[in-house]
Amino acid sequence: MILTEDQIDALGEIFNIGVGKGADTLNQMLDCQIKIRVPQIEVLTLKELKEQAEKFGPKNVSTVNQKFDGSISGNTMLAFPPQSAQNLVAALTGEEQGSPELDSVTVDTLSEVGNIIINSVMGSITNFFKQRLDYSVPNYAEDAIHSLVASHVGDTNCSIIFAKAHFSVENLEVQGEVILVFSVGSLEVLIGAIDAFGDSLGES
Amino acid sequence: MGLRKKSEEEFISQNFSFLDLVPVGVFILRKDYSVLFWNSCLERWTGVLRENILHQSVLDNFPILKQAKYASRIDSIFKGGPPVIFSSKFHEYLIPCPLGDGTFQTQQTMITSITDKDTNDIYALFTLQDLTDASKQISKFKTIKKELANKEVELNGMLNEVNRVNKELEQFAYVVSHDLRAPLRGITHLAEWIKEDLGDVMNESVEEHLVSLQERVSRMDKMIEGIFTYSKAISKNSEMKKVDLKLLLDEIVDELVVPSQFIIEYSEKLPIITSHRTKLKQVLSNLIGNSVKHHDKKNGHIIISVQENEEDFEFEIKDDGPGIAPMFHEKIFQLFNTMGDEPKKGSTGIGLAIVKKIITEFDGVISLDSEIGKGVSFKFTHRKY
Repeated sequence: MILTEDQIDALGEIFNIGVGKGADTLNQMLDCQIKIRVPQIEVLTLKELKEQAEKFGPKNVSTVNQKFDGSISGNTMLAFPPQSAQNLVAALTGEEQGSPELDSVTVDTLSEVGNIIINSVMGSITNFFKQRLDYSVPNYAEDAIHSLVASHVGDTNCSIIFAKAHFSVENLEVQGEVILVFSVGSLEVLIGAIDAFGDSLGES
Repeated sequence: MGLRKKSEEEFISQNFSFLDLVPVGVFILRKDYSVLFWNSCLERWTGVLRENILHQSVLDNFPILKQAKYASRIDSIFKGGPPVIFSSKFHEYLIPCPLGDGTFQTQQTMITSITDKDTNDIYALFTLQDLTDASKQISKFKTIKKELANKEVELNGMLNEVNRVNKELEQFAYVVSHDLRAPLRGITHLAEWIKEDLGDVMNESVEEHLVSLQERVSRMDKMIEGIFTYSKAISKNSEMKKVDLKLLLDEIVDELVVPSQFIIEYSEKLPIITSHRTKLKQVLSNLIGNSVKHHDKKNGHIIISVQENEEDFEFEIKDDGPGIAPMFHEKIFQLFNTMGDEPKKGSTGIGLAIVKKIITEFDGVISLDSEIGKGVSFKFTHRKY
């Protein structure tokens, strides 16, 4: 599906609202000053995702995944490149940066950070649907981004929204990038819902 | 209300009664935070019995959940939102479970939205995992790792200091040897000039004294040179490489001044070992050179052998010379220690001290076996690298 510039802008805005809310939740919870923004999004095929992900860095990354089912079905993933994972956990926990290998407590911490951001993004997206979605239990995994997406969505023709999110923590000069990968069997339903919402705003 | 309760209880007993069998803490809340289910694991962990908390507000027992950071995320569950995770790092625990030593369990909590399809009522299912042991182990591991890293920094600092001191010592030895040798050269020249000045006037006694003076100066010069060599031998800038022992011995024997009747014997098939060639050459030439220099016969016989052990190589240099009295066996390895008349033979008492230093550097030991009149056997080991 080819999206218009307006549709891509609208999706970008939805993602930005979502990650912004996620940052607010983290700030409230941890009394920190983290900012997250998504400068731009891209709509990709699985093949294109593989190329993009390979450009981004190491093959295996830490990811938190949330599968959903209902009016739209798919998976939302937040991927942490290793250095970003270390920087972010150190900044949020106030601890010194640990070793590059992730222990179970760090994995647990990343899972919560991922969970907060993904849930906020999902909240931002599901606002356009009248029906609730069903969610599976979030899951942490380390692998190549495209392999994980393929295994979660199970459809090589799925549509993927790829968003590099930039985070920075004020006063600590900590920054980095996390990747949001929102994959759905079909984008039509989501775009339809967004368009309908836009139309309803125009009518009112 | 009665009907509602019955329907809820059926919903719980039909779907969730097995949760009493799992080793994780589980409870279910209604939208108003009243407790609908409290599993037996939680009874055990918290000490709060099901009958005392069922249908009560969880906030009365655990007011921590009233905090906005928890409430806002728990509320999203009652709207059918995605599961929520509370990690052990950010929230040590949501439900305090005392461990008996004044501390509390470290927990990871997940909250999942569950819907009764018949009534469309939404509930929040809390699952608490005990991560106390894992957290303690990781924290212990991190402490050990940090301590090790500190030790490494400390050791590196010490190593740098040792290297610096070694370098300074080497420089010091160089400067000292250079500066001490200059006046010695002056004394040699002065003795020459005295000889020339006296010419025919010089009597036998003066000439003897002057020769004696020059000999002592020459000995002093050798000793200073020895100090410099010794200081170089203890510096650890070794470059290890493969050394063919047969070729090395050929080279040493070739360079030594050996009387023609002497036999120096070693196998044609000696191992190739990893070593510092220059230093090993110095050890072997000092030992073989000593055997030749101190031999009391013209037709001496020196046998060199190398035996390969599991962890090292064992060298033996054996001669049939005059031997060394037991009283000197320890002393000869000390710096500037010679055996009585040794200075006359040009010995400075540095050679064997250098040998011992280098062998120590090869993680080896040196020993000798000798009796007066029965020759001497020097044995030393050299670690396998």
